[in-house]
Amino acid sequence: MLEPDPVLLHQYLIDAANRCGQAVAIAEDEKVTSFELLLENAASIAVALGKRGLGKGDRVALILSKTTDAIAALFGTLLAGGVYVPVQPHWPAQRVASTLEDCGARFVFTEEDSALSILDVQAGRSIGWAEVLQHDAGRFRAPAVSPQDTAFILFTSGSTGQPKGVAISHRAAAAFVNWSGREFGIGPEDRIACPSPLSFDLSTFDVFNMARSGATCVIVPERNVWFPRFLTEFLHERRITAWYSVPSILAGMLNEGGLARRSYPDLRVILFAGEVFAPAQLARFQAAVPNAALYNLYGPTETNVVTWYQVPPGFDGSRPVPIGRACPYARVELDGAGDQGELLAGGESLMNGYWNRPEETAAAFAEIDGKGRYYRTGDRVTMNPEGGLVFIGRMDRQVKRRGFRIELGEIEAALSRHPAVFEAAAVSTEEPESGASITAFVRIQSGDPVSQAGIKTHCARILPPYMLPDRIVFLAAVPKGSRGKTDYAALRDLVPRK
Amino acid sequence: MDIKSEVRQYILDHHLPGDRSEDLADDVPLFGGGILDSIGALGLITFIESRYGIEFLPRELDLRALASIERIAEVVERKLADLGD
Repeated sequence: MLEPDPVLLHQYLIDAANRCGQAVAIAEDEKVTSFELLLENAASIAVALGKRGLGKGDRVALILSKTTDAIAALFGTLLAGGVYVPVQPHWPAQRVASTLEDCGARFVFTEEDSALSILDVQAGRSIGWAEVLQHDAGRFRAPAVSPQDTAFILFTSGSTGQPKGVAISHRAAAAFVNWSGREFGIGPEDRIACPSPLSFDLSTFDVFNMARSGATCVIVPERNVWFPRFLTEFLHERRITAWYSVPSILAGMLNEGGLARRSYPDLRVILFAGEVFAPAQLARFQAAVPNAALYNLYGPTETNVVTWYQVPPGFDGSRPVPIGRACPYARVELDGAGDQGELLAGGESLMNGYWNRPEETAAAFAEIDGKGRYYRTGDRVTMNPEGGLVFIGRMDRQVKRRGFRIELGEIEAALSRHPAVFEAAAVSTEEPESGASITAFVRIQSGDPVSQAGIKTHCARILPPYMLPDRIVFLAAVPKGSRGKTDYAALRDLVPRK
Repeated sequence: MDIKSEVRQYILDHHLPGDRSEDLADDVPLFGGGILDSIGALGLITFIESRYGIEFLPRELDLRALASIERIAEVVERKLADLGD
C-alpha cells in the first residue's frame, strides 16, 4: 500500500534526507547540495532561530533571491515552526520596510556579497552565517505544527495602494505539491526548474516537489531570467526535465531565444500559469518542443492552482487555451447566469486569509450552502463542453502583465504621492506582440517642469519593478464621465500607438 | 563614436518620449530608478549588440552591468577592447 503524502512541508525534506540523503537536492551554477546537507543546514538555522526565541507561527522575512541558502532558510524557518515571508531584494526600500512591519517579522534574512546574515529584530543584533552553522543540529526538537497552520505569506498588489499578505497553510500548499508531483510523475531522476522568485506561488512547485520526490531543483540564474537566449541555453545544457513558468517567459524563448534551434530530449513536462498564453504562440511553442507535454495551470495566489488543462498534441492555435477542470483537491462554481460568470474556487488549497486583514478576508470569500467556503477569484469564465472552463477576463481593474498581478489602483496611489501630480489614472491595453502594457496619465501643476524620468524615478521608490507603468502621458485634464468619475475607456483611446 | 550619447538617445526615444538629454544624467540608476524594466533591458541589449557588433555571454549580463549609462559605456568599451585584442 502507498504511504499517505505528508501534509507538513518540512516533512518532505526530512523524508528525502532519510531516503536519498546523498542525492542532489539543489544545483546552482556549479554548486550542488545533497538532501542530507540541505537538511543539516536547515536544521542549524531552525536551532539558531529557536534558541533566540522564535515561537510557533512567528514570521521570518527572507529578503533573498532564490538560491541554495534561501531554500535552506525557508526550510529552517518551517522546521522551527515559523512562517516564512519571501521579499525580493530589489523591491524599493519603502516597500520592504512596510512589508516587514505589516507581517511583524521576528527575524530577517538578508544577503550581501552572497553571504547570509540574520537580523534578530527583537534583540536588535545580526547573526552571522558562520555562527548559525556552529550549532549542533542533532539536538533539535521540532515544535508541533498542524497542517492548518500558516507556512508562508506571499504579498501581492493591493487595489488601495497597500500590498496584501496572502497566508497559506501547510495543508493548502501540500495539496498542490502532492497532486502535481503525482500527476506529472516527478521522481528522483527529474531536474526541475522554475524561474519565479520565492515570493510567487509558482515557486512552491520546484522547491517542494524537489523535497517530496527526491528530484533535483536546478536554480535558474536570476540574472538570466529575462534574457531569452540564455534561458534556452539553460534548458538545453542543464537537461531540464520539468519546467514551470509564466507564458511570457516561454514566448520570449520562442520569439527571441532561438528555442526551435536547439533540441531538448530530456524535457518532458512544461507547466505554465499566471496569464493567458496567446493560442497562436502556444501552437508554435508546442511545435518547437515536440517531446514535452504542455499544461495550463490556473489559480490566483489565494488558492494556488485549482484548475488544469493538458494542451492536446497538435494544438492548432485557433481558439483560446482553456483553464480546464478542477484539480482533485479543488472545487469550482460559477456565480452568474447561464454558462458564464465569476469563478469561485474552494477546496483544500484555499488561503487561510489575508494577513492582519479580517475585513478583506471576509469579503474575499463566499459561503455556499452545504458546500463550504469559496474564494471569489474576480475572474470571468465560461464553460466549454470540450475543454472545461475558459477564462474571459477580469471583473475589476486587476491586470496581468508578463504573469505579474497588478492592481492599477496601486499605481495610481503611488503616482498621486508625487508633489507635482494633481491627478493620476492608469490603464492597461493589449499590444499584439508584447501583451499587456500599462499607460499612466498624470495631470500636473502647470508651470512645474516635470520629466518622464522624474515621475518614473518617483514610482520606483514606491512600487516594485514589475508594477511600474510602461509609459507616462501628461494631460491638461483627465476625461470624466457623467458622474465625474474617470473615463477609463476614453483614456484607453488616448494611449499612444507604437 | 560616443557610446554614452547613443545609449542615452536610445533610452530617451524608447522609454522617455518628450524628455531632454539633461533629464537623463550618466549616473541615473536605470533599473532602481524605474527608467527601464526587464523587457526594456532586453531591447537595449539587442540595440547595443547590433550597433557595436558585440555579443554578451550569460555571466556578463545582469541588471548591475546595465545599472546606468556610465556603467553601460564601460562594459561596451571593455567588450570592444577585447574584440580588438
